Amino acid sequence: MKKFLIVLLHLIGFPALLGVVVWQSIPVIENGGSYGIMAYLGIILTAALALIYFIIVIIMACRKKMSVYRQTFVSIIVSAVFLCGLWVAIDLYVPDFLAGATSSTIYYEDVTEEYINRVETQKYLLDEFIKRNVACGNLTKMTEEEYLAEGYANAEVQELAATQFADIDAGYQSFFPAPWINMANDSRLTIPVLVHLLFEERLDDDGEPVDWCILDMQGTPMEIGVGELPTMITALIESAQEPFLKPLFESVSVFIADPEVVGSPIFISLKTTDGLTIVLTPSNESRGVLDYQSMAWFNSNGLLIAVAGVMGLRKFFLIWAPILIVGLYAIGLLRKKKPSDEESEADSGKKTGNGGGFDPNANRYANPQFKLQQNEIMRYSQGPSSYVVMSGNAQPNYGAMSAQLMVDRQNNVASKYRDSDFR
Amino acid sequence: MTLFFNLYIIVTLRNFFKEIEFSMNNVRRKHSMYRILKTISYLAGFPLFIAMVVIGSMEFMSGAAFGETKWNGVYVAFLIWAIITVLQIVFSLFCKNYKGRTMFAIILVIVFMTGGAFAFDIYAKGVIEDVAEEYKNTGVTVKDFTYQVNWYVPFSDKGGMASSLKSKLDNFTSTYNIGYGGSGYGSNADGTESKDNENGAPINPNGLYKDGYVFSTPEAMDILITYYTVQDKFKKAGKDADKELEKAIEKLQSNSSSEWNKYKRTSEYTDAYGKNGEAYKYMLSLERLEVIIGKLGGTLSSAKNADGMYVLKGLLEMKIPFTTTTVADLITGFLKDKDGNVLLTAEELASLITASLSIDDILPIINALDLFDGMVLTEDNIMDLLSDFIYYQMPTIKPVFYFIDDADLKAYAYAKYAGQVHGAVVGSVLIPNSSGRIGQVTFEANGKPASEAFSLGQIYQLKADLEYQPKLFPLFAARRYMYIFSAIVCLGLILAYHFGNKEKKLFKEIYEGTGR
Repeated sequence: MKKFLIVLLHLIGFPALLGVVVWQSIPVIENGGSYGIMAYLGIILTAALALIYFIIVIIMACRKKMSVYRQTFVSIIVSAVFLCGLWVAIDLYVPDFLAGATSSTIYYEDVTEEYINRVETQKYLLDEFIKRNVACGNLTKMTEEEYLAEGYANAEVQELAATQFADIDAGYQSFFPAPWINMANDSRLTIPVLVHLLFEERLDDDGEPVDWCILDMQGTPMEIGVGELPTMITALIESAQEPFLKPLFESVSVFIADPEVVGSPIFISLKTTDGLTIVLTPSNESRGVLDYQSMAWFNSNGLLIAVAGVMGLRKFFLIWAPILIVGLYAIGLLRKKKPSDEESEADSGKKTGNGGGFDPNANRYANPQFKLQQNEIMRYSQGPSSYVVMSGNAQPNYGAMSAQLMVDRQNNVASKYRDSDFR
Repeated sequence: MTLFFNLYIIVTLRNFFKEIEFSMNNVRRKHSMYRILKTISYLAGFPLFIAMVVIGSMEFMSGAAFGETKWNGVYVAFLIWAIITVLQIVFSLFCKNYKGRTMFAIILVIVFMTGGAFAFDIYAKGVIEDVAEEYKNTGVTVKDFTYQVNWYVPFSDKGGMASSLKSKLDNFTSTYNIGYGGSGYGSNADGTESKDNENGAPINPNGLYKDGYVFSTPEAMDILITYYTVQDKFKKAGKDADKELEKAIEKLQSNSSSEWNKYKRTSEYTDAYGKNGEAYKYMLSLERLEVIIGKLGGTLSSAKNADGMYVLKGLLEMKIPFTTTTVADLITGFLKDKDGNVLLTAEELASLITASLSIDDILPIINALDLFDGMVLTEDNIMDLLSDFIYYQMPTIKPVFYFIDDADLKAYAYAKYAGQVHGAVVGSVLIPNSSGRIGQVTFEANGKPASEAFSLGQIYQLKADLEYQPKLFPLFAARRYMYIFSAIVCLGLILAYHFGNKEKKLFKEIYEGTGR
């Protein structure tokens, strides 16, 4: 029975944790499976820690001289470090590191509790990238469904992702060292900033004009509200959309793509609901590219999926830490009941007390715990009883002394005598 | 009898040992009790003092006003504790007597806590008086030390001065869309290095701010104070500072032998703004504007729809819904001069839109339409008109107002440029321009009306308050509890030493078995 309990307690430790980790990693594998081993990093980490832990436990069990107490203590320390201490260190250092590595676009909190949302977002980026490139003709060898099924495992997708990111990244870097793009990203897009972003001369590393503009970096259409117009003007615009305005704006987008103008096409359209709104749409979709931030994330998709897969385990590790510690403590207690364990404890030289301190449970006659001063002895008494103070060379008349003590006891008298009273 | 006696001795000795054991338990209980009392006594001293200083500093934990100084009171409390503790330890190496150690510790408390608080009062009073003296002619109110030391964070359930400072500062920063500390978004567009001024603001070689720099609160206050004080100065002299500035710039620009025009002939300037100048990499030049207009003209004139019809022609021929008027008629109706005469028809206008369209074709029409209240546009002044949006001031090139002789007017020009032009670029307009808005004037927001701008008096008051209150108020928290806790810490130390001594004696008794 004891052995069964010990085995059970071992099983609810790392093995059970590994099971939970596998279960909770299913969304990571489903969304990031095409990234190979990256999606399994959380499981691999847990298995590695479990393996190290069991190796330590087995080595300790094989060492006869190591007491059960010490084995239990070491096992608990190892579990606490692996399941709790590791995450304390990660909590201290990884948040700043992650924010810095992702230019404050992904935070620590996004990948711990929100890890499923994060991996789903990364999967969405991959799918969206594939769909856009199938639609614009960059991916032609298979159907869209086939590309989506293979995901990042497809070599063509990998190559295209690297090329596209390098291209838009070169475009993004060309905005620096000027401050304009950072201002635009921080709600400081003023007219002068927009003019700088659109019309400043930007060259790539080869000295060629960059063919990406600020709207491509943001990836979302920009809407400029004109305001309410008379009904007939609105009706005029609506009737002119198909025959004239659309072809006109198509020509204008080609004009805008001219390196002398903006360098990247911007598609113009008009909306007439709630007044007239001019909509400026970037060319990301038509070129099979996401916005810059998404492309940067996408470029590190494998790493981000791995990070989310590992960081998402934080909660389970912290929950399992006390469970494992309690289980190990119980194992220690169960193992400690064996008589051989008590002997080995005694053999390890463990002493009671604190080097001479009083221990009321010790055998006072076998192991005297205090020296008695022979010069003066004082008896403390709570009840009414007489006592005799004996001096160093006391030679009282014991008969008289004991007689007196008996009399006092019978009469409930409490007196103090000295040995000299009975000479 | 002997047997009886022996039995009695055995019983007595057994009782004796039991009572020794009982008495030892009693001693152990007393030992534990003194240890607990010693700990409680000590905790009621310095640790409680520090805890109260932390609580008293909570008011400073939020808001930007005390961002850098919020923990200063707590640091002082910890420092006092550390110093006294270290000195106690050192003294204990020489003095084994607990009464001597107690006396020494109490003296340290009096010196560092009571004496320290008293010395701080003298220092703080001096600081406040200095600030009051500095701002005495500006209408600023600086309450005296005895008022502030109570009302900085009052015990009563009433708003204190710290809370008032925080809300004033928050109001200032939100009005002008700035932070307490300045911020930047990158380097100058051309990579030129800048240097920090005394407020930490990055200044280019030409005296203007670095590209993308958003003002800190101290810097913004200095700009506004310069702007308002020079305006007032000119007003008192019966002049308008803006008009004087305009005159000074006009004089520099029109006089061919002015320092400005001499500067414009130097290689430094022509390399930047001459033909194929460096500055045109970062701005829209007139030449590039001409090219863009020509290409746009070509694009519009050649655009055809799916039926092969020219789009511009088709648009002009469209009838406006619910009317018999064509688009051409509508546009022609707008192309009239101020006397109502038709300048040209829509078809004639459309015929101008070709690949050879230029600014010279557009300017006469704009001038005839009188779109700018009598202002006649030329190729030169059109760039000036658009300069707020498309011009790039190279960091190494001096602006025209650099050459103004009048020091006040020059300072005014720099302040006005910073608050209006630089502020408009970064979305933190300090001085309203023609739009009449300040603060966050961007695509996402429309700023605030100029009526919400801070007056000179308000700015001086905020500046004076920020000069000393963030520094002193957290220290007031430490000072308040230094006075309150001096006696408590003394008492705590006395009791701690006393109970400690008792504990030590009982421990010796337990350890060595010495009876009493």
